[in-house]
Amino acid sequence: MRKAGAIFRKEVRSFFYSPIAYAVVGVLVAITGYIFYSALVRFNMIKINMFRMHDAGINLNNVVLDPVFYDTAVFLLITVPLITMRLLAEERRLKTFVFVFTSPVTPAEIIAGKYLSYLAVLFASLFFVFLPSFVLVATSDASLPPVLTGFLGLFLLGASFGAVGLFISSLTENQIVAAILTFGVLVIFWLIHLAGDPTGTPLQQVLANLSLIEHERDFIRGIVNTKDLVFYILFTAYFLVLSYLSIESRRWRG
Amino acid sequence: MTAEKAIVVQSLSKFYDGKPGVVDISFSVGKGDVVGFLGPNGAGKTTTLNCITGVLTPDSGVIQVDGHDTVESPMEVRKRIGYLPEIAPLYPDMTVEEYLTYAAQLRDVPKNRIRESVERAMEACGITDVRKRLIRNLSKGYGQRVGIAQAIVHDPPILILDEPTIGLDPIQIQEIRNLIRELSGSHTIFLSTHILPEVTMICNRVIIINDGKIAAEDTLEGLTRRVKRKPDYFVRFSPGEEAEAEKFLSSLSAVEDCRRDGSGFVVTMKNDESEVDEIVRGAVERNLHVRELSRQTASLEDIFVRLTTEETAGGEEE
Repeated sequence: MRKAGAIFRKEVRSFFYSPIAYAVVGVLVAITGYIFYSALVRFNMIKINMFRMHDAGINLNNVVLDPVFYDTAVFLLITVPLITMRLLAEERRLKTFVFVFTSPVTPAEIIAGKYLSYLAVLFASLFFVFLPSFVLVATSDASLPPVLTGFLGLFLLGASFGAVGLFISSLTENQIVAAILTFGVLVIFWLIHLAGDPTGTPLQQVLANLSLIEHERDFIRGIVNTKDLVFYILFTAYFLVLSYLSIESRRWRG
Repeated sequence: MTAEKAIVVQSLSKFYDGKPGVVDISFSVGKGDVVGFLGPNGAGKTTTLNCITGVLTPDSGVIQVDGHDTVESPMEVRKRIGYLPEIAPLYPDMTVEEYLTYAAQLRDVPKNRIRESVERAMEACGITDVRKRLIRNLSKGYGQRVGIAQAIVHDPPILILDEPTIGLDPIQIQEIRNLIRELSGSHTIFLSTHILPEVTMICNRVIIINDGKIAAEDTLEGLTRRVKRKPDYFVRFSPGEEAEAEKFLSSLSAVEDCRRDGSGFVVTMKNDESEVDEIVRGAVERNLHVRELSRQTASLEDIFVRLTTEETAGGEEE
Protein backbone atom coordinates (compact mmCIF):
# COMPACT_ATOMS: atom_id res chain seq x y z
CA MET A 1 0.00 0.00 0.00
CA ARG A 2 3.05 2.22 -0.09
CA LYS A 3 2.30 2.93 -3.72
CA ALA A 4 -1.31 3.80 -2.89
CA GLY A 5 0.20 6.33 -0.49
CA ALA A 6 2.31 7.80 -3.28
CA ILE A 7 -0.75 8.08 -5.52
CA PHE A 8 -2.71 9.61 -2.64
CA ARG A 9 -0.14 12.33 -2.01
CA LYS A 10 0.24 13.07 -5.70
CA GLU A 11 -3.52 13.38 -6.15
CA VAL A 12 -4.05 15.65 -3.16
CA ARG A 13 -1.21 17.87 -4.30
CA SER A 14 -2.38 18.12 -7.88
CA PHE A 15 -5.92 18.79 -6.68
CA PHE A 16 -4.76 21.84 -4.81
CA TYR A 17 -2.64 22.96 -7.75
CA SER A 18 -5.76 23.18 -9.85
CA PRO A 19 -7.86 26.35 -9.79
CA ILE A 20 -10.99 24.23 -10.03
CA ALA A 21 -10.38 23.06 -6.48
CA TYR A 22 -10.40 26.53 -5.03
CA ALA A 23 -13.40 27.56 -7.10
CA VAL A 24 -15.46 24.51 -6.17
CA VAL A 25 -14.59 24.38 -2.49
CA GLY A 26 -14.73 28.15 -2.20
CA VAL A 27 -18.21 28.35 -3.68
CA LEU A 28 -19.41 25.48 -1.51
CA VAL A 29 -18.15 27.14 1.65
CA ALA A 30 -19.41 30.57 0.63
CA ILE A 31 -22.93 29.39 -0.17
CA THR A 32 -23.32 27.25 2.93
CA GLY A 33 -21.89 30.12 4.95
CA TYR A 34 -24.51 32.45 3.52
CA ILE A 35 -27.28 29.96 4.25
CA PHE A 36 -25.96 29.62 7.77
CA TYR A 37 -25.98 33.36 8.19
CA SER A 38 -29.50 33.85 6.85
CA ALA A 39 -30.79 30.98 8.99
CA LEU A 40 -29.29 32.68 12.00
CA VAL A 41 -30.98 35.95 11.10
CA ARG A 42 -34.27 34.12 10.70
CA PHE A 43 -33.77 32.48 14.06
CA ASN A 44 -33.37 35.89 15.68
CA MET A 45 -36.61 37.08 14.06
CA ILE A 46 -38.45 34.07 15.40
CA LYS A 47 -36.88 34.58 18.76
CA ILE A 48 -38.12 38.17 18.90
CA ASN A 49 -41.60 37.23 17.76
CA MET A 50 -41.98 34.18 19.98
CA PHE A 51 -41.01 34.79 23.50
CA ARG A 52 -41.05 31.25 24.76
CA MET A 53 -39.47 29.48 21.88
CA HIS A 54 -38.25 26.51 23.87
CA ASP A 55 -41.82 25.59 24.57
CA ALA A 56 -42.57 25.65 20.86
CA GLY A 57 -39.79 23.12 20.22
CA ILE A 58 -37.72 25.67 18.40
CA ASN A 59 -34.01 25.78 19.03
CA LEU A 60 -30.79 26.60 17.23
CA ASN A 61 -30.33 23.04 16.09
CA ASN A 62 -33.55 22.62 14.21
CA VAL A 63 -33.96 26.18 12.99
CA VAL A 64 -30.40 26.98 12.00
CA LEU A 65 -28.28 23.85 11.72
CA ASP A 66 -30.69 21.28 10.22
CA PRO A 67 -31.50 23.42 7.16
CA VAL A 68 -27.82 24.25 6.71
CA PHE A 69 -26.90 20.56 6.73
CA TYR A 70 -29.70 19.75 4.32
CA ASP A 71 -28.62 22.43 1.92
CA THR A 72 -25.05 21.26 2.22
CA ALA A 73 -26.21 17.85 1.03
CA VAL A 74 -27.81 19.50 -2.00
CA PHE A 75 -24.66 21.45 -2.77
CA LEU A 76 -22.53 18.34 -2.44
CA LEU A 77 -24.67 16.92 -5.22
CA ILE A 78 -23.35 19.68 -7.46
CA THR A 79 -19.80 20.04 -6.18
CA VAL A 80 -18.76 16.40 -5.81
CA PRO A 81 -19.00 15.66 -9.56
CA LEU A 82 -16.73 18.65 -10.14
CA ILE A 83 -14.20 17.26 -7.70
CA THR A 84 -14.26 13.66 -8.89
CA MET A 85 -14.43 14.31 -12.63
CA ARG A 86 -10.69 14.58 -13.02
CA LEU A 87 -9.69 11.58 -10.88
CA LEU A 88 -9.34 9.08 -13.72
CA ALA A 89 -10.60 10.96 -16.78
CA GLU A 90 -7.63 13.31 -16.62
CA GLU A 91 -5.15 10.44 -16.68
CA ARG A 92 -6.77 9.18 -19.82
CA ARG A 93 -6.73 12.55 -21.50
CA LEU A 94 -3.10 13.18 -20.59
CA LYS A 95 -2.24 9.62 -21.67
CA THR A 96 -0.68 9.06 -18.28
CA PHE A 97 -2.81 6.03 -17.59
CA VAL A 98 -0.24 4.02 -19.49
CA PHE A 99 2.39 5.36 -17.09
CA VAL A 100 0.48 4.07 -14.08
CA PHE A 101 -0.49 0.89 -15.87
CA THR A 102 3.01 -0.10 -16.85
CA SER A 103 4.28 0.46 -13.32
CA PRO A 104 4.01 -2.43 -10.91
CA VAL A 105 0.86 -1.01 -9.37
CA THR A 106 -2.35 -3.00 -8.92
CA PRO A 107 -5.75 -1.55 -9.86
CA ALA A 108 -6.68 -1.79 -6.17
CA GLU A 109 -3.79 0.50 -5.26
CA ILE A 110 -4.81 2.96 -7.96
CA ILE A 111 -8.40 3.01 -6.69
CA ALA A 112 -7.30 3.27 -3.06
CA GLY A 113 -4.91 6.15 -3.71
CA LYS A 114 -7.37 8.08 -5.85
CA TYR A 115 -10.40 7.52 -3.67
CA LEU A 116 -8.65 8.30 -0.40
CA SER A 117 -7.37 11.53 -1.91
CA TYR A 118 -10.97 12.42 -2.70
CA LEU A 119 -12.01 11.61 0.88
CA ALA A 120 -9.29 13.90 2.17
CA VAL A 121 -10.56 16.73 -0.03
CA LEU A 122 -14.13 16.00 1.05
CA PHE A 123 -13.14 16.02 4.70
CA ALA A 124 -11.33 19.34 4.31
CA SER A 125 -14.29 20.90 2.48
CA LEU A 126 -16.78 19.72 5.09
CA PHE A 127 -14.52 20.98 7.83
CA PHE A 128 -14.75 24.50 6.42
CA VAL A 129 -18.47 24.14 5.83
CA PHE A 130 -18.95 23.09 9.47
CA LEU A 131 -16.69 25.70 10.97
CA PRO A 132 -19.54 28.20 11.65
CA SER A 133 -21.63 25.41 13.17
CA PHE A 134 -18.88 24.51 15.58
CA VAL A 135 -18.49 28.16 16.50
CA LEU A 136 -22.24 28.34 17.12
CA VAL A 137 -22.14 25.30 19.36
CA ALA A 138 -19.26 26.77 21.32
CA THR A 139 -20.93 30.14 21.82
CA SER A 140 -24.59 29.25 22.33
CA ASP A 141 -26.85 26.59 23.75
CA ALA A 142 -26.99 24.63 20.47
CA SER A 143 -26.14 21.03 21.20
CA LEU A 144 -23.03 19.36 19.76
CA PRO A 145 -24.06 15.73 19.07
CA PRO A 146 -26.38 16.53 16.14
CA VAL A 147 -23.58 18.59 14.61
CA LEU A 148 -21.19 15.66 14.87
CA THR A 149 -23.69 13.15 13.47
CA GLY A 150 -24.53 15.67 10.75
CA PHE A 151 -20.86 15.84 9.87
CA LEU A 152 -20.62 12.05 9.82
CA GLY A 153 -23.77 11.76 7.73
CA LEU A 154 -22.64 14.32 5.19
CA PHE A 155 -19.21 12.74 5.04
CA LEU A 156 -20.77 9.34 4.31
CA LEU A 157 -23.10 10.91 1.77
CA GLY A 158 -20.16 12.66 0.13
CA ALA A 159 -18.19 9.40 0.21
CA SER A 160 -21.02 7.66 -1.66
CA PHE A 161 -21.22 10.50 -4.18
CA GLY A 162 -17.48 10.30 -4.68
CA ALA A 163 -17.51 6.56 -5.36
CA VAL A 164 -20.05 7.14 -8.14
CA GLY A 165 -17.91 10.00 -9.44
CA LEU A 166 -14.76 7.89 -9.43
CA PHE A 167 -16.48 5.12 -11.36
CA ILE A 168 -17.87 7.46 -13.99
CA SER A 169 -14.53 9.22 -14.27
CA SER A 170 -13.05 5.85 -15.26
CA LEU A 171 -15.41 5.59 -18.22
CA THR A 172 -14.52 8.70 -20.19
CA GLU A 173 -11.59 10.93 -20.90
CA ASN A 174 -13.80 14.00 -21.01
CA GLN A 175 -14.04 15.59 -17.59
CA ILE A 176 -17.14 17.62 -18.42
CA VAL A 177 -18.96 14.50 -19.55
CA ALA A 178 -17.84 12.74 -16.37
CA ALA A 179 -19.17 15.58 -14.21
CA ILE A 180 -22.53 15.74 -15.99
CA LEU A 181 -23.05 11.98 -15.95
CA THR A 182 -22.09 11.80 -12.29
CA PHE A 183 -24.54 14.57 -11.48
CA GLY A 184 -27.27 12.75 -13.41
CA VAL A 185 -26.65 9.43 -11.70
CA LEU A 186 -26.54 11.09 -8.29
CA VAL A 187 -29.84 12.87 -8.89
CA ILE A 188 -31.41 9.56 -9.86
CA PHE A 189 -30.15 7.93 -6.68
CA TRP A 190 -31.33 10.97 -4.75
CA LEU A 191 -34.88 10.74 -6.07
CA ILE A 192 -35.12 7.01 -6.65
CA HIS A 193 -37.43 6.53 -3.66
CA LEU A 194 -40.15 8.42 -5.51
CA ALA A 195 -40.53 5.38 -7.76
CA GLY A 196 -40.77 3.12 -4.74
CA ASP A 197 -43.34 2.39 -2.09
CA PRO A 198 -42.41 1.12 1.40
CA THR A 199 -45.54 -1.03 1.48
CA GLY A 200 -45.64 -2.13 -2.16
CA THR A 201 -44.04 -4.97 -4.09
CA PRO A 202 -40.53 -6.11 -3.07
CA LEU A 203 -39.03 -4.07 -5.92
CA GLN A 204 -40.88 -0.97 -4.80
CA GLN A 205 -39.68 -1.55 -1.25
CA VAL A 206 -36.09 -1.80 -2.46
CA LEU A 207 -36.43 1.40 -4.48
CA ALA A 208 -37.96 3.15 -1.50
CA ASN A 209 -34.84 2.41 0.50
CA LEU A 210 -32.24 3.20 -2.15
CA SER A 211 -32.44 6.97 -1.95
CA LEU A 212 -29.20 8.59 -0.88
CA ILE A 213 -30.89 11.51 0.87
CA GLU A 214 -33.51 9.50 2.75
CA HIS A 215 -30.71 7.83 4.71
CA GLU A 216 -29.37 11.24 5.58
CA ARG A 217 -32.37 12.47 7.57
CA ASP A 218 -31.64 10.71 10.83
CA PHE A 219 -27.98 11.72 10.80
CA ILE A 220 -29.02 15.37 10.56
CA ARG A 221 -31.48 14.89 13.42
CA GLY A 222 -28.70 13.49 15.55
CA ILE A 223 -29.48 9.79 15.23
CA VAL A 224 -27.04 7.21 13.88
CA ASN A 225 -28.81 4.11 12.56
CA THR A 226 -26.88 0.99 11.65
CA LYS A 227 -28.98 0.56 8.52
CA ASP A 228 -28.03 4.02 7.27
CA LEU A 229 -24.36 3.41 8.01
CA VAL A 230 -24.45 0.06 6.25
CA PHE A 231 -26.30 1.56 3.32
CA TYR A 232 -23.67 4.20 2.67
CA ILE A 233 -20.79 1.81 3.16
CA LEU A 234 -22.26 -0.78 0.78
CA PHE A 235 -23.22 1.86 -1.76
CA THR A 236 -19.65 3.18 -1.69
CA ALA A 237 -18.11 -0.29 -1.85
CA TYR A 238 -20.32 -1.21 -4.79
CA PHE A 239 -19.13 1.70 -6.90
CA LEU A 240 -15.51 1.21 -5.86
CA VAL A 241 -15.73 -2.37 -7.11
CA LEU A 242 -17.23 -1.12 -10.35
CA SER A 243 -14.32 1.32 -10.69
CA TYR A 244 -11.89 -1.52 -10.09
CA LEU A 245 -13.54 -3.65 -12.76
CA SER A 246 -13.63 -0.73 -15.15
CA ILE A 247 -9.89 -0.15 -14.78
CA GLU A 248 -8.99 -3.81 -14.92
CA SER A 249 -11.10 -4.42 -18.02
CA ARG A 250 -9.28 -1.77 -20.00
CA ARG A 251 -6.48 -4.24 -20.55
CA TRP A 252 -8.85 -6.55 -22.35
CA ARG A 253 -10.46 -3.94 -24.51
CA GLY A 254 -7.94 -1.58 -25.92
CA MET B 1 12.38 -19.83 -23.24
CA THR B 2 16.07 -19.38 -23.34
CA ALA B 3 17.67 -17.26 -20.68
CA GLU B 4 19.48 -15.03 -23.16
CA LYS B 5 16.28 -13.62 -24.54
CA ALA B 6 14.99 -10.38 -23.08
CA ILE B 7 11.67 -10.47 -24.89
CA VAL B 8 10.02 -13.48 -26.49
CA VAL B 9 6.77 -13.04 -28.39
CA GLN B 10 5.05 -16.20 -29.57
CA SER B 11 2.04 -16.24 -31.88
CA LEU B 12 0.69 -13.00 -30.50
CA SER B 13 -2.71 -11.90 -31.78
CA LYS B 14 -4.78 -8.95 -30.72
CA PHE B 15 -8.06 -7.86 -32.24
CA TYR B 16 -10.01 -4.62 -31.88
CA ASP B 17 -13.73 -5.23 -32.16
CA GLY B 18 -13.02 -8.19 -34.40
CA LYS B 19 -10.62 -6.21 -36.57
CA PRO B 20 -7.11 -7.58 -36.43
CA GLY B 21 -4.49 -5.39 -34.80
CA VAL B 22 -1.71 -7.94 -35.02
CA VAL B 23 -2.11 -11.53 -36.17
CA ASP B 24 0.01 -14.45 -35.03
CA ILE B 25 3.32 -12.65 -34.80
CA SER B 26 6.42 -14.17 -33.26
CA PHE B 27 9.84 -12.71 -32.66
CA SER B 28 12.40 -12.38 -29.96
CA VAL B 29 14.82 -9.78 -28.69
CA GLY B 30 18.14 -10.90 -27.29
CA LYS B 31 19.64 -9.43 -24.14
CA GLY B 32 21.68 -6.34 -24.89
CA ASP B 33 20.27 -5.99 -28.39
CA VAL B 34 19.07 -2.71 -29.77
CA VAL B 35 16.21 -3.69 -31.99
CA GLY B 36 14.28 -1.42 -34.31
CA PHE B 37 10.63 -2.26 -34.72
CA LEU B 38 9.72 -0.83 -38.04
CA GLY B 39 6.46 -0.45 -39.84
CA PRO B 40 4.13 2.01 -41.52
CA ASN B 41 1.55 3.81 -39.42
CA GLY B 42 -1.21 1.46 -38.38
CA ALA B 43 0.88 -1.66 -38.90
CA GLY B 44 0.43 -2.81 -35.31
CA LYS B 45 3.57 -1.44 -33.69
CA THR B 46 1.91 0.22 -30.73
CA THR B 47 -0.46 -2.71 -30.26
CA THR B 48 2.50 -5.06 -29.99
CA LEU B 49 4.31 -2.77 -27.56
CA ASN B 50 1.19 -2.37 -25.44
CA CYS B 51 0.88 -6.16 -25.23
CA ILE B 52 4.51 -6.54 -24.19
CA THR B 53 4.23 -3.87 -21.53
CA GLY B 54 0.94 -5.23 -20.23
CA VAL B 55 -1.22 -2.26 -21.12
CA LEU B 56 -3.24 -4.69 -23.22
CA THR B 57 -3.83 -8.38 -22.72
CA PRO B 58 -3.22 -10.47 -25.85
CA ASP B 59 -6.19 -12.31 -27.33
CA SER B 60 -3.89 -15.24 -27.94
CA GLY B 61 -0.21 -16.02 -27.79
CA VAL B 62 2.42 -15.82 -25.12
CA ILE B 63 4.83 -13.03 -24.28
CA GLN B 64 7.75 -13.47 -21.93
CA VAL B 65 9.89 -10.68 -20.64
CA ASP B 66 13.08 -11.77 -18.99
CA GLY B 67 11.50 -15.20 -18.55
CA HIS B 68 8.30 -13.87 -16.96
CA ASP B 69 4.93 -14.30 -18.58
CA THR B 70 3.18 -10.96 -19.11
CA VAL B 71 -0.25 -12.35 -18.21
CA GLU B 72 0.70 -14.63 -15.33
CA SER B 73 3.20 -12.40 -13.54
CA PRO B 74 2.56 -8.88 -14.79
CA MET B 75 4.16 -7.25 -11.75
CA GLU B 76 7.50 -8.98 -12.36
CA VAL B 77 7.38 -7.93 -16.00
CA ARG B 78 6.59 -4.32 -15.20
CA LYS B 79 9.47 -4.06 -12.75
CA ARG B 80 11.84 -5.03 -15.57
CA ILE B 81 10.51 -2.73 -18.25
CA GLY B 82 10.89 0.97 -18.78
CA TYR B 83 8.29 2.14 -21.26
CA LEU B 84 8.07 5.38 -23.14
CA PRO B 85 4.70 5.40 -24.93
CA GLU B 86 4.13 7.27 -28.16
CA ILE B 87 2.80 10.25 -26.23
CA ALA B 88 5.12 10.83 -23.29
CA PRO B 89 3.03 10.35 -20.14
CA LEU B 90 3.65 13.64 -18.36
CA TYR B 91 1.72 15.41 -15.61
CA PRO B 92 1.83 19.09 -16.54
CA ASP B 93 1.26 20.25 -12.96
CA MET B 94 4.28 18.49 -11.51
CA THR B 95 7.89 19.57 -11.56
CA VAL B 96 10.39 17.29 -13.26
CA GLU B 97 11.78 16.19 -9.94
CA GLU B 98 8.38 15.54 -8.37
CA TYR B 99 7.34 13.54 -11.36
CA LEU B 100 10.43 11.35 -11.39
CA THR B 101 10.16 10.81 -7.65
CA TYR B 102 6.57 9.72 -8.16
CA ALA B 103 7.68 7.38 -10.94
CA ALA B 104 10.36 5.88 -8.69
CA GLN B 105 7.84 5.33 -5.90
CA LEU B 106 5.44 3.54 -8.23
CA ARG B 107 8.24 1.38 -9.61
CA ASP B 108 9.30 -0.13 -6.29
CA VAL B 109 12.53 1.78 -5.87
CA PRO B 110 13.47 1.40 -2.17
CA LYS B 111 12.73 4.56 -0.21
CA ASN B 112 16.35 5.31 0.67
CA ARG B 113 17.42 5.03 -2.96
CA ILE B 114 14.73 7.16 -4.58
CA ARG B 115 16.69 10.40 -4.42
CA GLU B 116 19.76 8.77 -5.92
CA SER B 117 17.73 7.08 -8.69
CA VAL B 118 16.06 10.35 -9.62
CA GLU B 119 19.44 12.12 -9.74
CA ARG B 120 20.87 9.40 -11.94
CA ALA B 121 17.94 9.47 -14.36
CA MET B 122 18.06 13.27 -14.61
CA GLU B 123 21.80 13.14 -15.15
CA ALA B 124 21.54 10.51 -17.88
CA CYS B 125 18.86 12.45 -19.74
CA GLY B 126 20.45 15.87 -19.28
CA ILE B 127 17.52 17.42 -17.45
CA THR B 128 19.17 18.24 -14.14
CA ASP B 129 19.00 21.95 -14.94
CA VAL B 130 15.21 21.90 -15.36
CA ARG B 131 14.47 19.79 -12.29
CA LYS B 132 12.45 22.52 -10.56
CA ARG B 133 10.47 23.49 -13.63
CA LEU B 134 6.85 22.56 -14.11
CA ILE B 135 6.52 20.02 -16.88
CA ARG B 136 3.90 22.16 -18.62
CA ASN B 137 6.59 24.79 -19.24
CA LEU B 138 9.08 22.44 -20.89
CA SER B 139 9.73 22.29 -24.62
CA LYS B 140 8.73 19.16 -26.48
CA GLY B 141 12.32 17.97 -26.64
CA TYR B 142 12.78 18.32 -22.90
CA GLY B 143 9.42 16.68 -22.35
CA GLN B 144 10.60 13.71 -24.34
CA ARG B 145 13.75 13.52 -22.24
CA VAL B 146 11.66 13.54 -19.10
CA GLY B 147 9.66 10.73 -20.70
CA ILE B 148 12.82 8.72 -21.15
CA ALA B 149 13.97 9.61 -17.64
CA GLN B 150 10.79 8.13 -16.16
CA ALA B 151 11.44 4.97 -18.17
CA ILE B 152 14.93 4.50 -16.72
CA VAL B 153 14.37 5.81 -13.19
CA HIS B 154 14.01 2.32 -11.73
CA ASP B 155 16.96 1.09 -13.77
CA PRO B 156 15.11 -1.58 -15.74
CA PRO B 157 17.13 -3.96 -17.90
CA ILE B 158 14.73 -3.50 -20.81
CA LEU B 159 13.66 -0.25 -22.42
CA ILE B 160 10.72 -0.07 -24.77
CA LEU B 161 10.41 3.15 -26.70
CA ASP B 162 7.48 3.92 -28.95
CA GLU B 163 8.41 6.46 -31.62
CA PRO B 164 10.80 8.32 -29.31
CA THR B 165 11.66 11.10 -31.75
CA ILE B 166 8.24 11.85 -33.17
CA GLY B 167 7.28 15.50 -33.24
CA LEU B 168 10.71 16.83 -32.36
CA ASP B 169 12.81 19.28 -34.31
CA PRO B 170 15.98 18.02 -36.04
CA ILE B 171 18.33 19.07 -33.24
CA GLN B 172 16.16 17.52 -30.58
CA ILE B 173 15.91 14.34 -32.67
CA GLN B 174 19.69 14.19 -32.79
CA GLU B 175 19.91 14.65 -29.03
CA ILE B 176 17.37 11.95 -28.29
CA ARG B 177 19.13 9.55 -30.64
CA ASN B 178 22.42 10.21 -28.92
CA LEU B 179 20.75 9.62 -25.59
CA ILE B 180 19.32 6.31 -26.79
CA ARG B 181 22.71 5.30 -28.11
CA GLU B 182 24.27 6.04 -24.73
CA LEU B 183 21.61 3.99 -22.98
CA SER B 184 22.06 1.11 -25.38
CA GLY B 185 25.30 0.14 -23.68
CA SER B 186 23.57 -0.91 -20.50
CA HIS B 187 20.05 -1.79 -21.65
CA THR B 188 18.19 -3.98 -24.04
CA ILE B 189 16.29 -1.56 -26.21
CA PHE B 190 13.24 -2.25 -28.29
CA LEU B 191 12.37 0.77 -30.29
CA SER B 192 9.46 1.31 -32.61
CA THR B 193 9.66 3.85 -35.37
CA HIS B 194 8.55 4.61 -38.86
CA ILE B 195 11.57 6.79 -39.49
CA LEU B 196 14.05 4.62 -41.31
CA PRO B 197 17.35 6.46 -40.79
CA GLU B 198 16.72 6.20 -37.08
CA VAL B 199 17.04 2.45 -37.29
CA THR B 200 20.20 2.69 -39.34
CA MET B 201 21.70 5.00 -36.77
CA ILE B 202 20.74 3.30 -33.55
CA CYS B 203 19.82 -0.32 -34.01
CA ASN B 204 21.72 -3.48 -34.70
CA ARG B 205 18.69 -5.57 -35.56
CA VAL B 206 15.46 -4.82 -37.33
CA ILE B 207 12.02 -6.32 -37.17
CA ILE B 208 9.65 -5.10 -39.84
CA ILE B 209 5.95 -5.33 -39.27
CA ASN B 210 3.31 -4.66 -41.86
CA ASP B 211 -0.42 -5.07 -41.74
CA GLY B 212 -0.28 -6.90 -38.42
CA LYS B 213 2.31 -9.43 -39.58
CA ILE B 214 6.07 -9.71 -39.32
CA ALA B 215 7.51 -8.98 -42.75
CA ALA B 216 11.17 -9.46 -41.89
CA GLU B 217 13.49 -9.99 -38.96
CA ASP B 218 17.21 -9.67 -39.48
CA THR B 219 20.32 -7.66 -38.86
CA LEU B 220 20.61 -4.44 -40.79
CA GLU B 221 23.34 -5.85 -43.03
CA GLY B 222 21.39 -9.03 -43.58
CA LEU B 223 18.37 -7.09 -44.70
CA THR B 224 20.39 -4.91 -46.99
CA ARG B 225 22.02 -7.94 -48.55
CA ARG B 226 18.73 -9.68 -48.95
CA VAL B 227 16.98 -6.96 -50.79
CA LYS B 228 19.68 -5.41 -52.84
CA ARG B 229 22.55 -7.37 -54.29
CA LYS B 230 23.46 -5.08 -57.14
CA PRO B 231 25.25 -1.83 -56.32
CA ASP B 232 23.89 1.53 -57.36
CA TYR B 233 26.09 4.50 -58.17
CA PHE B 234 25.27 8.13 -58.45
CA VAL B 235 27.18 9.84 -61.24
CA ARG B 236 27.12 13.53 -62.09
CA PHE B 237 28.83 15.14 -65.06
CA SER B 238 29.59 18.72 -65.95
CA PRO B 239 26.50 20.72 -66.86
CA GLY B 240 25.56 20.41 -70.50
CA GLU B 241 26.95 16.91 -70.88
CA GLU B 242 23.85 15.09 -69.74
CA ALA B 243 22.57 14.02 -73.13
CA GLU B 244 25.87 12.61 -74.22
CA ALA B 245 26.46 11.04 -70.82
CA GLU B 246 23.14 9.28 -70.90
CA LYS B 247 23.97 7.76 -74.26
CA PHE B 248 27.37 6.71 -72.97
CA LEU B 249 26.12 5.15 -69.78
CA SER B 250 23.38 3.13 -71.44
CA SER B 251 25.88 1.83 -73.96
CA LEU B 252 28.11 0.29 -71.30
CA SER B 253 27.84 -3.48 -71.05
CA ALA B 254 28.39 -3.46 -67.29
CA VAL B 255 25.42 -1.18 -66.70
CA GLU B 256 22.11 -2.80 -66.20
CA ASP B 257 20.00 0.27 -65.75
CA CYS B 258 20.53 3.99 -65.87
CA ARG B 259 18.05 6.69 -64.95
CA ARG B 260 18.10 10.45 -64.53
CA ASP B 261 18.05 11.68 -60.98
CA GLY B 262 18.19 15.42 -60.57
CA SER B 263 21.41 16.71 -62.10
CA GLY B 264 22.96 13.26 -62.39
CA PHE B 265 22.25 9.61 -63.00
CA VAL B 266 21.63 6.61 -60.83
CA VAL B 267 23.39 3.68 -62.43
CA THR B 268 22.74 0.07 -61.49
CA MET B 269 25.67 -2.19 -62.24
CA LYS B 270 25.16 -5.68 -63.52
CA ASN B 271 27.56 -7.48 -61.26
CA ASP B 272 29.85 -5.94 -58.68
CA GLU B 273 31.62 -2.75 -57.84
CA SER B 274 34.81 -3.40 -59.87
CA GLU B 275 32.74 -2.51 -62.92
CA VAL B 276 32.57 1.07 -61.83
CA ASP B 277 36.02 1.43 -63.37
CA GLU B 278 34.38 1.19 -66.78
CA ILE B 279 32.38 4.30 -66.12
CA VAL B 280 35.44 6.27 -65.13
CA ARG B 281 37.63 5.01 -67.95
CA GLY B 282 34.93 5.45 -70.58
CA ALA B 283 34.14 8.94 -69.41
CA VAL B 284 37.76 10.02 -69.69
CA GLU B 285 38.02 8.52 -73.16
CA ARG B 286 34.97 10.45 -74.32
CA ASN B 287 36.10 13.63 -72.69
CA LEU B 288 33.14 13.66 -70.30
CA HIS B 289 33.82 15.34 -66.98
CA VAL B 290 32.83 13.36 -63.97
CA ARG B 291 32.07 15.76 -61.13
CA GLU B 292 30.65 13.34 -58.64
CA LEU B 293 30.66 9.60 -58.26
CA SER B 294 29.32 7.92 -55.18
CA ARG B 295 28.06 4.57 -54.14
CA GLN B 296 24.48 4.40 -53.02
CA THR B 297 23.94 1.92 -50.27
CA ALA B 298 20.59 0.30 -50.51
CA SER B 299 18.65 2.49 -48.19
CA LEU B 300 16.35 1.06 -45.65
CA GLU B 301 13.61 2.85 -47.54
CA ASP B 302 14.08 0.49 -50.45
CA ILE B 303 14.02 -2.53 -48.18
CA PHE B 304 11.05 -1.22 -46.37
CA VAL B 305 9.03 -0.37 -49.44
CA ARG B 306 9.84 -3.73 -50.97
CA LEU B 307 9.01 -5.71 -47.91
CA THR B 308 5.85 -3.87 -47.09
CA THR B 309 4.42 -3.70 -50.58
CA GLU B 310 5.27 -7.14 -51.86
CA GLU B 311 3.08 -10.04 -50.93
CA THR B 312 5.76 -11.88 -49.01
CA ALA B 313 9.34 -11.14 -48.30
CA GLY B 314 10.20 -14.60 -49.55
CA GLY B 315 12.87 -14.58 -46.93
CA GLU B 316 14.29 -17.21 -44.70
CA GLU B 317 12.42 -18.58 -41.75
CA GLU B 318 13.55 -17.46 -38.38
